[in-house]
Amino acid sequence: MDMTSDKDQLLTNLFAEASRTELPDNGFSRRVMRSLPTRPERLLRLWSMFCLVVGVVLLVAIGFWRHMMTFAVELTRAFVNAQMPSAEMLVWPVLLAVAIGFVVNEMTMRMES
Amino acid sequence: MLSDLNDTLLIARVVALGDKRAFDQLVRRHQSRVRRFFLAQTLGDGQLADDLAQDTFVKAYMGLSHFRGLSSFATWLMSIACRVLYDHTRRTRFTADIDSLSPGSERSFTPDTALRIDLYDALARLRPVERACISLQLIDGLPIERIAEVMSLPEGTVKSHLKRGKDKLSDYLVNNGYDKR
Repeated sequence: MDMTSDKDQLLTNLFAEASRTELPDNGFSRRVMRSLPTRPERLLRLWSMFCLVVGVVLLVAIGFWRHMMTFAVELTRAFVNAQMPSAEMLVWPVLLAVAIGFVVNEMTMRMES
Repeated sequence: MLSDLNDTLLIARVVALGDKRAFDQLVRRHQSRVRRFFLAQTLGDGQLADDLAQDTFVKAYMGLSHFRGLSSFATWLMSIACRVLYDHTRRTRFTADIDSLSPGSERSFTPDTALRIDLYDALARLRPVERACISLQLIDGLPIERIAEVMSLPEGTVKSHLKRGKDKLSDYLVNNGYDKR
């Protein structure tokens, strides 16, 4: 008799009961459901996207890019002349940095979820 | 096949509509299999098995939108269970040798039969990866190719683990009076 099939038969017989055992739920599913984190709602995602689009449109409408170009020129002159750029010039880059940070944070949170 | 289709419909409801009741049905449908798997891996520790099973379902819920349907939901779920087990083993350096078992170990879900105790003692002699392969085959009845898919191992490696595991199990059980025939 083949030793391997003998072993297999022995183990199959011994584990037969375990393989048939169905564990009663006993509240397990309820505990799982209570522990689930909140998934981001679809509506919230759509709202975030809408706000992002409106924000971009507003930035274009108020000539944001013109201001950025002006800032870039000022910054270059400042480096050349070893001078700090004016405070007014810093507003738009700061706003841009904040907006980028917000978008990156949102995308990171969505990826993690 | 019908159960796979039902699982797919439930998954679609969870992902598209955020329907948590659909996920509850998935949990109820698959909880026994997952908990049974972890019971074998934890050698009958019901509390730990439930904690690991709960972790598995939470991870499945969070990653449900990544389920592509290339395999059945049950297979996908069991592959998550294997990763949860692997992470737990690494964290706790879980070494299931006979010395770590004590008469007071909680074995909540099983009748206190001599066979059940002997099977857990036998499983304790296996390496975690051998124990996982053995339980997936002998308790869940999965074919080798499915075990390989669940554990992300080559089929040849699974066969090696199964052979070594079965040799250790049968040697222990035969030495403890369980007849070969």
